[in-house]
Amino acid sequence: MQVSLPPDVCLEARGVSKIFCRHLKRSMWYGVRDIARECLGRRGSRSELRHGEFWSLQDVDFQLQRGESLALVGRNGAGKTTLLKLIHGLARPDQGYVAVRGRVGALIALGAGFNPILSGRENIYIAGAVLGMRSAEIDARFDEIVDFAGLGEVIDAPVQTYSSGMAVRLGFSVASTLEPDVLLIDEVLAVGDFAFRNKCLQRLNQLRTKGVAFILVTHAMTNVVQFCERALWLEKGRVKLDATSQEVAARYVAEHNPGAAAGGLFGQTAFNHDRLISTRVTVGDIAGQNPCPVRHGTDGVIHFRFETREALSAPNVSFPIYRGDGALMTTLATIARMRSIPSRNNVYEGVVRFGPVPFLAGDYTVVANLHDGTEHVFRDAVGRLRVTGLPEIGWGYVKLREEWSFPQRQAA
Amino acid sequence: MPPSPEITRPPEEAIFVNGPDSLLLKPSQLWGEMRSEFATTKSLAWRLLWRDLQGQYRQTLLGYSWAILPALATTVIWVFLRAQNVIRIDVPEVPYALFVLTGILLWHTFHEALFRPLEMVKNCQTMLERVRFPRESLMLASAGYVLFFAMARLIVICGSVFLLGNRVPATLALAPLGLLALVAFGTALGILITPLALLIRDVEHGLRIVMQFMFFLTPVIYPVPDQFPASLMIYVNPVAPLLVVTRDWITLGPSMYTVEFARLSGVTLVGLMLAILWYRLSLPLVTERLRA
Repeated sequence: MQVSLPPDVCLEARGVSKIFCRHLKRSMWYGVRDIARECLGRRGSRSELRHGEFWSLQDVDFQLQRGESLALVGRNGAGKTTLLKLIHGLARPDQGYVAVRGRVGALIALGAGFNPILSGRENIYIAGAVLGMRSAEIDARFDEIVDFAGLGEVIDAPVQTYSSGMAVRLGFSVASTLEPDVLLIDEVLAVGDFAFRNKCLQRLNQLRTKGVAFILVTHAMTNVVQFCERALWLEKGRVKLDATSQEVAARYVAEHNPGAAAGGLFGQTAFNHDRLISTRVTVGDIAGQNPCPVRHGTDGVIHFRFETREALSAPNVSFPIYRGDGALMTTLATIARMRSIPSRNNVYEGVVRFGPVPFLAGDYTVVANLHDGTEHVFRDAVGRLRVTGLPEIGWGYVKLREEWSFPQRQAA
Repeated sequence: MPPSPEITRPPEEAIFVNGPDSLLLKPSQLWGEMRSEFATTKSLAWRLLWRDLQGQYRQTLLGYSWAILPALATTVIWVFLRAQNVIRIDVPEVPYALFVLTGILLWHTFHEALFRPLEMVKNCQTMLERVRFPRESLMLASAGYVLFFAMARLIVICGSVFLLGNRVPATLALAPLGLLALVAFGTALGILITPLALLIRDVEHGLRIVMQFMFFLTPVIYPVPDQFPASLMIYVNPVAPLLVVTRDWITLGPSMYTVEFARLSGVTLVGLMLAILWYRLSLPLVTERLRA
């Protein structure tokens, strides 16, 4: 198949479809038949599903320009990783084609080829070779790799003596040394400690300024907005939306709202706790309109009432507030202020006023916890905090008051 | 972070197209890809071989002697059984200890060559699923690994010839050629079974059982039988001529089965090339099914 790409395009996917089979034994036999067809020169495009097969990807079309960054978003099983594998050449499409100009790098298998019994130094050369780096390239970048991984004197110790974080850092350090034309990144930005994640993001920014095109698979909409100009939203193997990252992230968050997430994240187990008779929690603004939106920068209020069968020895309440993707935004807790909360006839009742709410606009899930010492008497998602007055997507989770000053301007 | 040293890279403007059509329909593209990947294949195979040799016995006290010890132990058992008349095996002109040690070391080399490609691919399964690299490098590293230990065994064999043998035949110089043929034959078969064994685990289980029988159906601990139908073994069992001729070269001199050896070596050479082609075509279809 001859494909020509415009000079500014480094990747093109046209009508890409991929079929998989969920039944293990059927998949084995289909595999044998596919190998036979391949070796007899009879394998080609196919549109008919065999028994037990399904479309993992269907009719995916997109182009990637040189230096462009594209996010792939979608729920688990949407086909994101399959699409990366087709781009990387690790799997063959059943319809359509993927054409790539230049070298493809991947931050997917960090530490691929590592032998844990060998030292970090030895493994750098092995992992580099697996990723297609020449010995001279590894020699030239060796000190930079060790420095970036922050391993210093332990570089000559066996990798099996490293912590898992150290091994991942070494793997990332080697893999990110590549300067490919297209870089595939699959959820690796979630590894390592905060300082290392920061270094990773700096390295990716460096590569972007050098004109490397990115395809980033992530569930974190902040990364989508921060790193990518464009995003492709996959749903059940099809492209649901191909638009700017802002637009895709906003619509994605709106669809997977905290109300929907609350059930999945925190369960639906209210009122079935043995020690509890009833629970009532309401979330709203200070006017007491429950439930009602809280405007960004104003205060919110939670009214709560728990009734238990018997007295608790060290009762406390807390209200963690989660974003739609499960990120913990803050926790309102009595334990920080008092050893235990007062009660009357086994009723624990109160109000917490909090604010000013700095969160970006959107729906947040409020979870209520009633503790007796370290034991959970009750824990469940009890309400939704709707914040208004700002865009839903921004640079981070919160928006603070900003006052800027520029001494140079005053001097002028 | 210090500024990165500038690396000179060749302009890689080639367009890689991944489509559904059989690669056999585009032989020029297939050959071109294999040729362009050859340098990477070689250097990666060297790294992987070095990794495996370095890592294999690093956490042991006896180190590389583990490559020889099982064969020595087996030899001691067979020599003991024969000395006790539990088994009766007549081997003219060669001390039985030398005969059986050579046979077992050669058999172990063939056995290792047969299973090493599959072990190599299984060890690198995560790499195969997630990183694109020339897959042939695994087979090259696998053959290199087997050859390394084959040569180590040859040193032991040569020492045994000087210590235990009645004489040192001039054909001992041909022993590396015999080992090479044995390794090539085992590797070709190993590469052929690897994709299928990876897909259907019964293949490996079955083959390991078959190889236990094959040990006794190959003239390893006994010479080539004279009586029909056992005498056909040398023509029916393809391992037999390679092993017998190599052992004859080491312990006796010229072998009467050299023609069979030459014929099988030629078939092996062609088979090895076809096996590599089969491996290249089939492995991607297998690995994509391992973890969809």
